[in-house]
Amino acid sequence: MNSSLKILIAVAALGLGSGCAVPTKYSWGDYDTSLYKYYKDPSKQADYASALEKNIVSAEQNNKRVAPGLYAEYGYMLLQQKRKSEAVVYFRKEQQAWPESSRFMEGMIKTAGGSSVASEKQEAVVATGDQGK
Amino acid sequence: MISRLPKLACCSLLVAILAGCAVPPPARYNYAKFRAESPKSVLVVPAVNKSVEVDAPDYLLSSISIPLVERGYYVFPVHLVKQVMSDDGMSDADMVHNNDPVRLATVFGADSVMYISINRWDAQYAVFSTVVTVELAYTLKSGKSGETLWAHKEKLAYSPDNNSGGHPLAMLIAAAITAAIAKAAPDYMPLARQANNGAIYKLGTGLPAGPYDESFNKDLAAY
Repeated sequence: MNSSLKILIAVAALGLGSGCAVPTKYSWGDYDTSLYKYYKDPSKQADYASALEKNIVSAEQNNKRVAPGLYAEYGYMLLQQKRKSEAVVYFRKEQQAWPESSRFMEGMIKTAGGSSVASEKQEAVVATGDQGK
Repeated sequence: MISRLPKLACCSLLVAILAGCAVPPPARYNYAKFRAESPKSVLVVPAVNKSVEVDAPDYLLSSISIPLVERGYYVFPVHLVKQVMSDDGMSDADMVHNNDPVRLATVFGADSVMYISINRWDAQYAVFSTVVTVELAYTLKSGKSGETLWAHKEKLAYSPDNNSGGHPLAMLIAAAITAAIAKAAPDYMPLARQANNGAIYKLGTGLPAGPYDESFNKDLAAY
């Protein structure tokens, strides 16, 4: 291999490497490695779920944005544990943070037995009305 | 004639060398369709697997969200999408890839659908070293028209052998050890991550910055 080409490749590799070191826009925690381990060994599902939870807690405490998709992924883990009302909370968080997910999350909320956004708003109105009394 | 032949050979050799060495300006992808739609969200569906490693699509799925999201797109939660699709009888990736992207995108409310084909995900074992190869073909299709907005193929090979001087026997043993390690559990993930980054971030061929990136619509010169 030509040495100048080698240098070029090295420079390019360096560029790529430094590109990865750029701080991320969002908080990911151990999302990718824990999902990989879960796929490799299905008994690691609980570890994956707790990695998602840990990341959400620490991001919210430190005022960082939870990466798109991760509220929903955690909601799904809760749904699998039959913690339906908690699952709804996270599907709704995904929906509020990322309007692109709205239709999908609407479906997930229904699957989890939660009410849709429209009826939720009505409930909220009723609730505030009660408080006013 | 006899004297011309070597010249010709030399000439073509020179051309070959030049072509091999000069870094050609990367063929710029035609972004007309991509720009016309400017998708905000990407639905990544499970990959089609042409390799013999049955778990490759799952492993790849675990590595695709971060580079796509950090590029500025909303990426649908890949694991949840996979499960929902499987519950709806769409667990066969080949079938999903052949189905209408518009219908799929409508179900999820996605602007675009990302299809990845795993062409290679293997390790070739030789006496002294092992070569790990990952080849992925990415296609982004419109959720509105079904047309291809962007496509890219990325192939990477890695050999963990260490050919830096030293005692021949020591080298041989070291190579045998690395090959054994790779054989036991070749780690494809660094290569998969590198392939994703190369596909998504390369100037002129990658994905333009998405709406959540500050260079959104300011990178028209490069893409």
